[in-house]
Formats: sequence, C-alpha cells, structure tokens
Amino acid sequence: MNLEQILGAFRTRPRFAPQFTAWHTIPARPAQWAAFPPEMDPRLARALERRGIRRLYTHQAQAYEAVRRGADIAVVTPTASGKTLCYNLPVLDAILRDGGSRALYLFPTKALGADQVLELQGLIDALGVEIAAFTYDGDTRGDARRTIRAAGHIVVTNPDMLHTAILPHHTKWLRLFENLRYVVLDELHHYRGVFGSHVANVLRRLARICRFYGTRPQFICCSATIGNPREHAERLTGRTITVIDRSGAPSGERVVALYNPPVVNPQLGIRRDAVREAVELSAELLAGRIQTIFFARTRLAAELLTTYLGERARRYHLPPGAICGYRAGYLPSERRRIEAGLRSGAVRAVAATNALELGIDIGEMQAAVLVGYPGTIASTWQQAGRAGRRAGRSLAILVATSAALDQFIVTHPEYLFARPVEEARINPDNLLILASHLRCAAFELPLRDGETFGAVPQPEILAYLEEAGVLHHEDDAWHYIADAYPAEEVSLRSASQENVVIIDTSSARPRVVGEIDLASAPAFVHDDAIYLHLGQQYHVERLDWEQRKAYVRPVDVDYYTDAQIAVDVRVLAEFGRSPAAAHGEVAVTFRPTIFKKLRLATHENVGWGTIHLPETTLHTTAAWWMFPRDRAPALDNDALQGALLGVSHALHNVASLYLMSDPRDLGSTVEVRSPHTGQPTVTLFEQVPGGVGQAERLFALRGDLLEAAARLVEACGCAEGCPSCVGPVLALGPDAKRRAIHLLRDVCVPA
Amino acid sequence: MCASRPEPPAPEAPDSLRERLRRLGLADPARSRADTRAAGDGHLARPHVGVPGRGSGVERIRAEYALDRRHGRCVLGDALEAIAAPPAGAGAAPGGRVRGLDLARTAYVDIETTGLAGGTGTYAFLIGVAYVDGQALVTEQFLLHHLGAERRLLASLQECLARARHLVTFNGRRFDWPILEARLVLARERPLPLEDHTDLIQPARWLWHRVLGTHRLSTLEAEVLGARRPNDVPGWLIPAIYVEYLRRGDRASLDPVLAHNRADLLAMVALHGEVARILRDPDAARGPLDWEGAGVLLAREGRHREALACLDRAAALAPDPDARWRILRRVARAYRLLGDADGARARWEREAAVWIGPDRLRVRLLEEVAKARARRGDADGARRAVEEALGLARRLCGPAANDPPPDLRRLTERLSGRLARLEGRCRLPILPPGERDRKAAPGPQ
Repeated sequence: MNLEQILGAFRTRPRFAPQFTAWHTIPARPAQWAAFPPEMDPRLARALERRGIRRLYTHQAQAYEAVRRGADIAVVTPTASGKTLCYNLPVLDAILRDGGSRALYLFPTKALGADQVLELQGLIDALGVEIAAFTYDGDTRGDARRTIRAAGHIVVTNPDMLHTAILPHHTKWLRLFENLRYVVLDELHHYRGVFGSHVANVLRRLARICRFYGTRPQFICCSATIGNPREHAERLTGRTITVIDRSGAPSGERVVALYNPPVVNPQLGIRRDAVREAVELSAELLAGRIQTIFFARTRLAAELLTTYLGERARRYHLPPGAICGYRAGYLPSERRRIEAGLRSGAVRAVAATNALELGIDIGEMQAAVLVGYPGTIASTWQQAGRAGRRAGRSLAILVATSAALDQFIVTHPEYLFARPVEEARINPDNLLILASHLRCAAFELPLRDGETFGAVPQPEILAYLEEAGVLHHEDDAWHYIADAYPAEEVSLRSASQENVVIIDTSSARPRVVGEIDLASAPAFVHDDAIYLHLGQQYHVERLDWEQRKAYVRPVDVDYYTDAQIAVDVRVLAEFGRSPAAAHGEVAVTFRPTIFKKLRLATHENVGWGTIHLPETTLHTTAAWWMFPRDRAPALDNDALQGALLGVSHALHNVASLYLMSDPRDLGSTVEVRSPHTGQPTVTLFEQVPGGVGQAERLFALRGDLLEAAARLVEACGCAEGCPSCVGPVLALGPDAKRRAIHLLRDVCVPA
Repeated sequence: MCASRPEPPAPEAPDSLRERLRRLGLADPARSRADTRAAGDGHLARPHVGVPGRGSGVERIRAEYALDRRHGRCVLGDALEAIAAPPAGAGAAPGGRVRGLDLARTAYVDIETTGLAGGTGTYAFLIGVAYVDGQALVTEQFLLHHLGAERRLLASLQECLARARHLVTFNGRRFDWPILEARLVLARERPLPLEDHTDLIQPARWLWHRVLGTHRLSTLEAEVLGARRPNDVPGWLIPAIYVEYLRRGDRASLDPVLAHNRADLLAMVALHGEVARILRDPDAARGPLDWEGAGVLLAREGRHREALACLDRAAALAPDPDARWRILRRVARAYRLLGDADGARARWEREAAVWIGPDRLRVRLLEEVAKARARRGDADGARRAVEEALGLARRLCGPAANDPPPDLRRLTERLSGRLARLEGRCRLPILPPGERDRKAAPGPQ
C-alpha cells in the first residue's frame, strides 16, 4: 500500500476510523524564489551553481541583504528550509571581501556542529578559495587548537566551549576577537530555560571581550518556530533583532491527525495503552514500507516501542536492523550509525525520544507517529515536521495517552491547530546564574565600577563576591583573585553536568552500554531496577552512587520497574502573598523510596523493593495555594490528602497550558498541613535551581489557574476521577474528584 | 497600622540579596580560601597595619650573588661556565646548537601568581628575573603592591628583559610564559622579543624522574644539588598569602614569598648547570642519574655514540626485562641512526645469546636478530632466527593455539609472513616500509 491507500484505510476501517478526532491538512506550498543578490561576490554565485543552486529562496536572499545592511537577524523558518545558507552566504561573502574577517558559529551540541562543518566545507571546496573552517570542541587535539586559534576563519563550537575554554583564555584568541564580524547562533529555540539563561550570560561575556578588542560582531540567529522569536533573540543577545519568518522553501502536502485510543475502562477513564496503539497503527506503515519515525516521551516508552516494533517487523520480513531506537544514553557512534541508516533508507522505522528533535539530518521521513503529546505545541510541530518532504504527501499522527494534557489536546484540536506555538522563556537575571557569570566575567577582565552586565550594573552581587573572597575591589575595578578557575564550577546545563555510566558485567571484559544523567539515575538505575537499552533488558546489580557507576547484567524478564520518589518542600523566603496563594524561594528534597515491579503488557503490580539512595536537594522558586483547614471540616486527613493530590494534578496541568511550557519544567507536591502556611497547601515548583521566573508568573495567574483547574475537573467525562483530570482514582481513593471540586470551588479563598 | 496593637505575625520578610546568594550556595565565604595561618608565620594573621604608600605600585628588589657562592654542591660560577660552554660534539647533529648560551643575553624567569589554574584571571604578582652581570649573578624581583599597577609591572619587565633573547624557565612553557603573554595582551603591551625558550622541566624529567619518582624542582634541588630550604613557604599557599596581603596590606608577610622566588631562581641556574655538565660528560654526574634518559637526550643532540654508551649502562642496570627491552629498542635506534648495521647485528645477537627474560620478549628479540641479519644480506641466518622465533611463539600460544590472544596471533602471522618471504622469495622486501619508524620508543611515565 502506498501512503494514499494507508490514509484511506485509517479513515474508513472500523478499527481505527472512530478513534481519529481530527484530520488537518496543510496544503502544499510552492517555492518562492529570489535571484542571487547583485552585490554578492560572483565567486560565491558560481560555487553555488556548481552545487546545483541557481537561485535562492526568498528568506535566504532577505537574510543576506539584512546582514549586509548591518542588521542583527533571526531567521525563523520550518525544518529543512535551507536555513544554513542564511548565515553561510553573508559570512563567506564577507570573508571573500576581506580575508581577515572571522566568524564564530555556535551550535547547542557537538553533533550538530560537526554536521554543519561538513556542509560548510562542501561549499568552501566548491569556492576553491582558502577559507579555514574548524570545529573547536572537547575532541579537538592540542596541536590543532593552536592552528585554529591563529588561522581559523570560521570557528564552529558550542556555548559550553565558549564558556570554559575560549572566553577565559581570550588572549590566546586575539586574532579571532580582533576580527570577529559575525556570531551565528543556530537552533535558537534550544536556548531556553536554564540553559538559555546561562547562554545569554555567556553572550554578555562575549560582548565584553569583543569590546575590549574593539569589535562589535553582528548576530545571525536561526530557530525553529517559536512564539516570540524577536523577544527571545533580543533577550539572548541583548541586541535589537530583525526577524525573517516568511519561508520561501517549498513543501509537500502534510496531513496531521489526532488519535485517541479506545476506552477500555469507562469507570476509571482508562484508555488503551498509547504505545500498543501506536504499534497497531504502525502495521500498515511497516507493511507499506513507509519510512516512519516514532517519538516517545520517555526513554522507557522508546525502548518498549523498539521492542514491539521489532516483533512486528519480523512478521513483515523486514531485515534485522530495519528498526532502531534513538535516545539520550546511546553512545555517539551508535547514534551516527542510526542517522546514516535513516538517510540511506536501511532503517525503516526509528523509535526516538526528543534527543532526535534537534536539527540532526536524517533525511526526509514520510510519516511521524507521536506517542503522547510532547508537552508543548512547538515540540509537537518540530516532531511532526520530521515527516515532511519538499514534494509529495506526508503524514503525522499524534496518539494520545490518558494523561490530562493529551486528552485536552485530542478533544480540543483547535488548541493545537489554531494557537500560536509557545514562547521560549529565559531569565538571564536569575540570581544564581547571573552571579556565577559575573565571577567568570571578572576572571576574563576586571569589572569597572558602574559597568553594566545585562541592562544594569550589579554592585550588590560584586560586593558579595568580594566578601566571599572571590573578588578584590581596588581603585575603580573589581579584580578576580580566587585560586579556582570559575568556568569549571559553572555548568551551562545543570542537569547534564554529571552522568552515571552503565556497565555490563556479564562478560569477562566489562562493557559500557550507555549513560544516564545524575538526576534521572535514582529513578532508572537504582539497585534491582530493570533498565532497558536498545530493546535489551538489564538488571541493575548495583548502583555505585559515589563512583557514578551502575553495574548491570542482561536478563529476560516479563516485568519492568517504576520508582517512587518522595518530594518535600521547605519555604526559605516569601516574595509575595495574597489571601489565596504566595510565591517565593524553596528547598525541595527528593527522597527515593520504593520501586514497583509491573508486568509488561498488563502493568499489573507483581512486587516491590526499597531504594537505598541519598536524598537530593533543589533550591528553586515556587508558588503555593492554601486551602484553609477550617473551611473543609467535613474532610478527614486521608480524604483531604486525596483531594489535594487531585487539585495538584489538575493545577499542574493547567499551569503548563497557561505558561505554555513543558509540564516537566514544573514539579508539584501537597501537604495536609504545611509547616510554613499552617494550612493544607498545594505547591508547584520549578525544576530548575533558582527558577527561571515561572513561579512569579504562576502567582500572577493564581486566580485564573484555580478557575481553569476547577473547569477541567468538572468538564471531565469520568465518574470518580481519572488521569485526565485529578489523576488515577486508585491512588486517590473514591470521591477524590468530588472533593477536589469542593476544594477548588468552596474551600479556597478568592484570589 | 495602629501602634498600640500587637502586629500579627508578618509573613517572613524577603531576605536580603546576600542571604539569597548564600543559600543558593554561591561561593560560601567560609570555605572559599585556604587558611593562610597554616603557613606557620604568626604575623600573617596580624591586623591591618596600613597599606604602604602607593608610589608606583611596583617594588623592585635587587640582589647580587658572587660567582663563588654555592647552592648545595654546586658553585654558581661553575654552573654558568657549563651553561656557556659549547656542547661536547657540537655540530654533530644537523641543526644542533653549535655554541653554548650567550649569558649576556640569557634571562631566568620565575613568577608567582594569584592562582595555579592559568587563564586570564590569574595575575602574576611577582616576577623574578636572574641574569649574569659582570662578576655576579643578579636577581631582580618585581612585586605588585596593588593590582591596578600591573601595567607598570609589565613595563618594568620589558625594560629588564630588553636585551635578553634567551629565556630559561622551569615549567615555563606550560605555566609562566602563557600567563605572562596573557598579561601583556590584557595590558595592551607588546610581546617580549625572545628567540628561544629553554624549559628545564624537560631534561629534568628525562634525567631524574625515573630514579627519583618525581621531577619537582624542590626534590631535584635536594637530591641532585644537595641544597635544602629549611623555612620555605609551600608553593600552593602563595596565592592565599598574596590575597591576604591585598586585604591587610602587611608587606612583611610577603617576605617568605620573595625568598622562595629567589631560591627558585638560584635553583634553576644551578640545575641548568648540572644538566649542561651531565650532557657534556654523563660520568661527571654527582647525584643519582637515569642513564636511559641521558641517552635519550644525547640522541636528541645527535650524539649517538655517547647515547649508546649511556643506554648500555642503563640496560645493564635495567630493573626488569621489560625495561631492558625498551632500552634495547633505543639502542637499536641509535645504531640505525649511526648507520652501523654491523654493530646492530652484533648487539642483537649478543643479547639473544644471554637473554634471560620471558619468552614473549625473546620472540621479539629473535625477530630483531632476523631483521638485523637480513639487512646485512644474511638470508640464511635470518631464516634460522625467524624459525626459532616462530617455534617459540607457537609454544607460547600453548593449548590456545587455535584461538590465541590477538597480540600473539598478530605476532605469529607476522613471523610466518617473514619466514615465507625468506624462504624462496628472498628478493621481496623484507621489512615493510614505515615499520621501522612506527615504533617510536615511549618516554618515561
């Protein structure tokens, strides 16, 4: 069957057709062309022609002209619309005019940087001019580093290297900084949250260093679609940005469908497992040899998908290796092999997590199946956009889980199709992040009194750093005098700072099978966990927390494990309060408690064990709502606990919608009697140390959120509560739904 | 609010910025610095006695040392003479140094810094320079009284080094020099006009690391030069002492640092002399010496005969067969660079006759014998050696003959190939091109 026939089958077959809640067609769009700009160096035009490019898309020409005018720009166009030429053209053109010009390319990951150098090198080879483009990252050898510092026209690196290796040694990069004309920031949408807040500060430091060497480079930014490209790029770079967002690239017709699995237990509101359902849908696609990418929300789901799809593939006589997994934790070499397999067509289906969301080139896929709402509208379009071709039709299906957000999306398709995508949020002035980078900045050049960092000077923080023995104030400047190298103490990606290495000890020679970030390790590789990797189950024999190593052995069992982490919140300082709610700074403690063993297909509980791991603490910001005890006299403590959990479930979900952020950016917890407020309390906290400003917005929206949560629960079709409103009724006790409504409508104080 | 009524408990007031920073765990003042009092000098903890007059902000401390002064076993004048003398066998190596160092244009430099990590945030607060002036060794130290005077400090250094063309340091390639270069760029000063840089850490590592287990300057000073520093301030404490000085302005607290820096400069000159003496005549070494390292350094100067003599002594002293084997490969390389194929062959054959090490090395030894014989056109002798090697290799595989470990498999395959070429088709090239250079001998550590 071809894709047309498969679409027909989905629309008509009784097994599938009723479950589709929406079909949305994005019409094909023809290319809009522009001639090569007349002022562009003719050698560049000839090189492009040699590579088969005879004219530009309109957005490429606009980008070139805006950069020539001296503007700082952000190009915001879909995946595969030829964004790289938007910066390669003006940069190469400038180097052709003046061989002394230099450019710095920043990509969020090493892999993307390496991809880009290959493409850039192709264009340079076609030019036949001596232009040196180099990758500078952790893998670059010492002797090559000297060459790059002295002779690299284009230095391709990542923000982490700029932060730890280049800026603190800027005197060695004299040639680069004295001649720096352009800074290219690709994958701008990736720089949000903590990482983005850090990167904004790294760019503030870059600007200082450039001022020292007398340069003021232009910024050329590129991004996938986000709701606020101008604001985001301006906050990141501190410049006024010209946005170019009308793509001239063609695209084929794209069909986007929403699919809600059938209900298996109407009482509990439980639907058929989304992973299983996605596998059912995959049958036609695999049989029809339609190259498909599956996106799962978790590593576990990705591994389960890989396993199930592998079974299907054998049934359709696909060669081994036609089905692959792809997620964080795979070794880089494994990933490169899978990417190449996707491009060549040898891999017919890949089950990925959002590790594949970024601009990694895997060629044009014909179909995408999203297992579960990815959490944001922007990620949904990025993942769906993986299926898309310049010509011909493509298909993307979102398969909903029972989770509240998923159910909201599939029952309100207009939310996805009519709303703008989320805004990227950063808070470069997060106190912890700002102070960390002020230290780094002072290390690079003494800070003058009154010198601005960001919009304003920061004398208070500098005075604190002096008291801490980091800085020394003398005459009119703050000098760095501590012994440590500050950039090494500041990780731009707080979560991925440290990894636990997973080691298979079953053979004579122990083998590293993967790694997992430290924050996730207690949940996935605790003692006796079943860890899934490349479809293989491993039993964790021992997690050596001090050494950051997990020792595993391959096994074949019919269950998986699910860890429980107890969360405790302590308020450190209150920034604002109303009768109903407050916000401020908190310390959140995570204590792993037990894990459950759940049977693979049925998820039935077949055992449990205790997790013995140290607790971890997160300092962050939070908002909390109080439900005065004396206004709910009818509820005993158990009933109240269940009702609070229901409220927190609903609040957490509507908060993510209102903030337009990923639900995983927030955590939630409840207390029947909070030591801080003295009342039953629901707390939503940011998952980022110090917070990036979400808690303050939650507090500002406190009344709207209570109202929206009440409406979400009231409107849910279930009887006594379900994962789509207050959470699983089994965990909360009967009546939790009614009681949650009671709390939201009657108990809470008007905001 | 009415003053007479008790106030309801106010919500906790938002904390000060300082409190919040402390809680977020940013640079806790309590643990940010090593306790400078650990230096043992009580006066470090003395309260502020007033910052000395600013003046230029740079203090210059000059000291002269007569040439008959001893540093341990070493007389400074003798050291300088050895350094200035042309190396023995000068001109033997193409591109090798023909003359000794021109002392009139040589400067020894050692700096003390605010940090040991390097990078633009590390200040050189004390720059010590030693040079020969007439009948004395002079040290000049430039001390930064406050960080704002750094440009003047660097200008003083420029002036002091104006005539110098040769720089000598200990670990200066990695540490002192990059920091000074960074400081000059930051101060928008021009770079220093130097022609060459001798970093003594390199010969020190070859000559002493294996025998002393370290090549730290303080250890070399004690063991090689026989000089002790009874009240020396430990290097890791120096950044903290200077930072304490910046806060309290107690200039006397820096005296131990100045003394440490001067002692380092004298030790460098003496050690340089010792290196020069040993390379002229290794037998003249007064302390412990790694003969293998001496051989390597001599070979680098193109003095392969002398290198051979050192390596032979090293082989005789080798602590274990692996060390002996490593040294023998250096011996073979020296013969090759001398173009002495007969010598090489004789050496390998003699070695094979007396070898008492493990068979896995004996196989390799026999292989070298075969190669040396083949190079001299003795195909028959070469074949016999290979046959013996192959027999030994197969015995090494033992019961695992069908599936030997990869290194043994490669070895037997290589030997079989060699044998096949020697038998019958002897005219084919026996040594694949490139093989001889591939096996660069590893250095110590």
